[in-house]
Amino acid sequence: MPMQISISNAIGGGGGAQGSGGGSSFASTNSFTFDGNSDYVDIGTSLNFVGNKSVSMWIKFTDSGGYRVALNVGSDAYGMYSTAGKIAFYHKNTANAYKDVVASTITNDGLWHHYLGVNDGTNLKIYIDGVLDNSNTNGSVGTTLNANGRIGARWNNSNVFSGSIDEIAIFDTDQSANASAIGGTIPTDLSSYSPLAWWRMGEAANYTGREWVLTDQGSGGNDGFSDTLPAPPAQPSTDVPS
Amino acid sequence: MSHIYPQDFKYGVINTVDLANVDFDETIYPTSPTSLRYSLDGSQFLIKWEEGHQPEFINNGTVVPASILSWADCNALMQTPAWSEPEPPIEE
Repeated sequence: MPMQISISNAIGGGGGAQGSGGGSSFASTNSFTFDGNSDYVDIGTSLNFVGNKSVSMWIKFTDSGGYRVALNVGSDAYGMYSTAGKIAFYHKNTANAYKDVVASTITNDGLWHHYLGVNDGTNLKIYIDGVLDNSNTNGSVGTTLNANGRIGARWNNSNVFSGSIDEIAIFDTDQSANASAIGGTIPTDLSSYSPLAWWRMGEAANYTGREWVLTDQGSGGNDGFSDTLPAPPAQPSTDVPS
Repeated sequence: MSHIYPQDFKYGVINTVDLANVDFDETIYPTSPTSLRYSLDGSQFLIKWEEGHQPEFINNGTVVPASILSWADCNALMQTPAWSEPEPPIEE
């Protein structure tokens, strides 16, 4: 039987010390890779809310298949998924109907890109690397749907994402005006944008010997948990947007 | 040690009737039965282990997997309708 690897300290990284969202020396030094088979992070039920919302994340992927979920809150309440080499932002509207906006641009080029999905109550918008890529009028205040949220999978652990994810954040605000600032060429310190949730995906993360604990750097205290992501050194990756 | 994930892992598709015989104290993922990914009909679930470290409950025949797959082969299986919804539940 192989030895169980356990570390008790936070995986460090410039500005990413436990309990800190960043600072003047902010840098991303880690990401998590999702195997497309069984990996996900449980983010609980507390992020289910109605009203404006934005989702920010860095993604690197090559998959060209269909419907792999990078983020799911509640039972499809909102999140992001990949399909045919594109990223889509989705939500369930006030009538509980599933609506989305699929990016116009194919980005499964194996490079890091930043995605910002915005629901401003009227429009669904998706920005890529800080630039508006597509939008429609499928927005609404949404609905709340109880089920544990997931990074890297659907609520029932299916449709697992294949690729790497870094610096994922949820805002209970419309972040359209900050799209270029948040989605620059490298990750930025999100503290000043007041994220409701912010998982740094490697920094501020502990492996307890049985599971990963991803400390939420946002205001909501929604720590993520995963016993599907393998122990160090398999995770986290040092491949980050740069 | 270099980053080895995920291609250096093996995946076992296990029949759900064998769940009680899976020892989650061995070095497999997930480490808890509550985190398993099941097929959509619930008849099978998925575990994984680092290549070269096949769990003892498989070695000794306590559990006979329905299949043992490479990462790539498992990825193809997980994309089938038995394991994943083919499309998001979009309502026009």
